[in-house]
Amino acid sequence: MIAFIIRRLLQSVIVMVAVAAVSFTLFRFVGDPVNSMVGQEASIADREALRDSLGLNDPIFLQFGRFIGNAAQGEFGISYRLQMPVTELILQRLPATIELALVSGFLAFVVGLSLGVYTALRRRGVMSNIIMTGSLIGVSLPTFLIGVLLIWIFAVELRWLPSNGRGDVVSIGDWWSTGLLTHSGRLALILPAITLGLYQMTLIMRLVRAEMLEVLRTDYIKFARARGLSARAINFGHALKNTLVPVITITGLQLGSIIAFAIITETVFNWPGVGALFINSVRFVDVPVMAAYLMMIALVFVVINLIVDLLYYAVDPRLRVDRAGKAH
Amino acid sequence: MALSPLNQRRWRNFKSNRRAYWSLWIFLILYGITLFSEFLANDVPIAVSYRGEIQYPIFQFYPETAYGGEFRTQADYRIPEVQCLIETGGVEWCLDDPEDALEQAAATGMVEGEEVYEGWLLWPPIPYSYDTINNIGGPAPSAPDADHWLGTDAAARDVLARVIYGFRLSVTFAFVVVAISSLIGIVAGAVQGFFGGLTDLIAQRLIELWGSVPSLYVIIIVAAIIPMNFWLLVVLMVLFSWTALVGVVRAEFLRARNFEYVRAARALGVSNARIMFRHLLPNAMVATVTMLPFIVTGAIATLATLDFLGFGLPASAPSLGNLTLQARQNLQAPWLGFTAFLTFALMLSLLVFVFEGIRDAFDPRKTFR
Repeated sequence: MIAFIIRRLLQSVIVMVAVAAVSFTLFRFVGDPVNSMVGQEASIADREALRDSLGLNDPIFLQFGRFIGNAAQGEFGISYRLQMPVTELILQRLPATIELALVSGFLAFVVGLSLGVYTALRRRGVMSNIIMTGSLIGVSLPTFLIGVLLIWIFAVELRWLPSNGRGDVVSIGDWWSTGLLTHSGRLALILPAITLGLYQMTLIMRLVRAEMLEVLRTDYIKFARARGLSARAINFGHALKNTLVPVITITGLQLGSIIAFAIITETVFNWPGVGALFINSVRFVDVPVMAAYLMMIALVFVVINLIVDLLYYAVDPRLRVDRAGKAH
Repeated sequence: MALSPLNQRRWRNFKSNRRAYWSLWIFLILYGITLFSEFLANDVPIAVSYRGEIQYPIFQFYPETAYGGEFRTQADYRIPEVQCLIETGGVEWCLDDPEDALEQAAATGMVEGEEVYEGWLLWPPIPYSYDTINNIGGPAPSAPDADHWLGTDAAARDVLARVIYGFRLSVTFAFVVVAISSLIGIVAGAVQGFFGGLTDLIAQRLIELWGSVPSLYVIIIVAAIIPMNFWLLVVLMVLFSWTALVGVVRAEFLRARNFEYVRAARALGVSNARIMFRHLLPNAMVATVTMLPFIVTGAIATLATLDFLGFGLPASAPSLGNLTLQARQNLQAPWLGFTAFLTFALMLSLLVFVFEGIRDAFDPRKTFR
């Protein structure tokens, strides 16, 4: 177990350093941030002074070493554009994105699971066919398109839900803010959460359906039927429970891509999260913010992969036996 | 080209899936039509008869002076003066009062004492190109009407024309990306799977690292710095999508490389390359075909997403993502959003149905019924 964790941690560190190197080299050779920071009147001496104070004149390896060292401490310097510490900037925006991601992940899990079970049990039904075909298209349609359509239906025509921003937020503690506690905050969350979670929902649904169909064919289900258990006990107590391992894995893994792809949904709904911050930073070649964001996304993926691996280990006893068997 | 018995059976299986079969036909017809977009939606006529001579402005540059006009720039066939010049064979009165000149020509065959050579213009069904900025006499975007069947967008360009060109652009982009990246992916996967060992180990670790680079962000950053064009975007997409096929091809090759028929081929002295591509590859195709639809729809969606975020092709390009962006910015103009949505839904669902049919046809469990 310990060896397994250490090996996974080591892999994670390598991935992080690789992403750091990619983002660092990409940014180092990309544009001159000084140009976007000073006015046209700035003299060459002024520019050089600024370059020195930003450490842009140092050797490249020194800069990379400093970058890694600072990044490990969560320190990414000062935003060229907003003149604020990047870490503070991201922490300020993070609650909005995390809240959105968690709500849409939850939504995707619950709806995907129920639809998956339904379509597996009523395999030949008309409704199931409609849902399956719909999900096929839902998987391939770009999310922003669905977002725009939802905005048009619910915000423009019906005027039920807002199309912009987070609504009113309540601050909890020093840096967390939530929209879940106010009415307008909850209303503002609905459309973005659906848009963001739709892809994952169809994915989970198809997965649950496939797994359920697989499990329902097995001998122990036949045996459970022979024992005279009720259909409900068989379907939910035995079949569903055994499909949950891969479903949890996928949902967990998807949480990372939900946060990563929130960038599009946030743009569609003007959601004040980190994704929108990233897009604006790219427009102004704000290197520290872009670097920090890339690192953050990589970290999220790495951590989630790690947690899912460990969860897998905890949920599925067969894996444990397997590994123990190999170790001896 | 004769199909092998196996492929004949696959084709029969595919045909028996009605939805996939008809989707394929509809898609091929739509794509075939849009391949000739220039003849379908263009702001120059397909053919012009001027003084009894047939000209094809769609292929060739004609200055306005060629029709007796004043400018040496390309004739603007959409303005009444030029149309009048062509229809009357270059009567000068056209430049002063084209309507009156045409009336006189129709009534008497003479304009202000000048002889008239009757001419004509053959327009495409949609007389606007994707980048024609139209004079719509009101605020853009304008709603659908008899002139602009799907309305105009925020820059007063005809939406229908943009959709036709945009469909061609999206599908072509996706096919080019998929063709190149599957070629690279298959070769890489084949080499890794066939030779195995250290080659495989090193390449796998490298691919793992490369795969953990968040590609969308890298493309966005590159697009923000370098002016984007079609081929640069293709290169960027290929750079990050070729790894998708490596895994499945590699697995198939790893599995099959020690099978009897491969050993037999090797014993007969068949070269490695020939074993790989003649004997092993056909067996790996099933797995490849299963993965392809995701790459195709993924490429279309990524192009649209980049265009929507403003980091894709230039804004003048006929892009469906850009149309969606305009729909978001102009919520009072629902025809933009609906057009974008329906186009994407049609394009992607046809593709998905076709690929589903292909996958089932290639599935050995279904092939040997």
